Amino acid sequence: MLGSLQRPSMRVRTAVFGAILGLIAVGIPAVAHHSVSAEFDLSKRITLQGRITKIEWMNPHVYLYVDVNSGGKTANWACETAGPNTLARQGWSQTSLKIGDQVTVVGYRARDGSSVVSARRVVLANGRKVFVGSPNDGGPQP
Amino acid sequence: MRALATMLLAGLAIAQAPSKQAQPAWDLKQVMRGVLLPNSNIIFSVQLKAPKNDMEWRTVENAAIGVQEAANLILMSGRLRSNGQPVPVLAADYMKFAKALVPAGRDCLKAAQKKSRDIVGDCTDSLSQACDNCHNVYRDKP
Repeated sequence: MLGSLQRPSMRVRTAVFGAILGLIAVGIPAVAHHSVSAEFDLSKRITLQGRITKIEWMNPHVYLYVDVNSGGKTANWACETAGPNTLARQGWSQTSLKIGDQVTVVGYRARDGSSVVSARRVVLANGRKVFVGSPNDGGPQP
Repeated sequence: MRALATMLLAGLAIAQAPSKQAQPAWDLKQVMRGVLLPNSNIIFSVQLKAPKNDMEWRTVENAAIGVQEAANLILMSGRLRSNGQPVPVLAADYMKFAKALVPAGRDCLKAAQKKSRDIVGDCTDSLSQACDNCHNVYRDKP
């Protein structure tokens, strides 16, 4: 397969076309597989404190959703971390966090100004701190 | 003498024949954004939302084919990176990283053909790892 450098076959062209259609049909999250600096502003560090409302334990990034109260208003922030395998190597498992846990998340804001952060460190209520970025992902390291 | 002349003529004919080798049209980042990113995101999205019908599963199958075939695209000689440097298609680690897309895509294709959200979820581990391994060396390091 790798030796073949001919014109893409009809099946491959169909695959690419299908991919585009699929993005529309399946509803892909806007933030997916990307470099940290492409989507997040590394000059805009932010610390969020709140309770976890949802956890998406998935590749290529795990997402924690955290309700943050500020000035009497509650905003739900999506905190993007490394993928499950990387988190596992750094001491997390799917059961390390649960809905309702109080956490502090240190990260960097999305370039588009949305309530999304690239989380680099999560501190649990018991004081346990875990680096949740990927080593060598271009973002700040612990 | 006649044999020598025949060989010379044949050599000239070969030298003047138009090259049939495919030439890359876009740089590596554009291939990533145009082919690998959308296709891998279709596969990753299954973790969040299972396809509802055969047509949506076919979209995932096609995305897996796109991922597999993309290994050929990113190993084409002559392609440049977005910084104007050539893609290191002869570097052993780069070749290894690129070729890892083939089994990852193949596993995802098999998973999609089984129409199993869980099995697709499993294959995203190898797909995500294949992406990360290369990104860590060739994309994210300053």
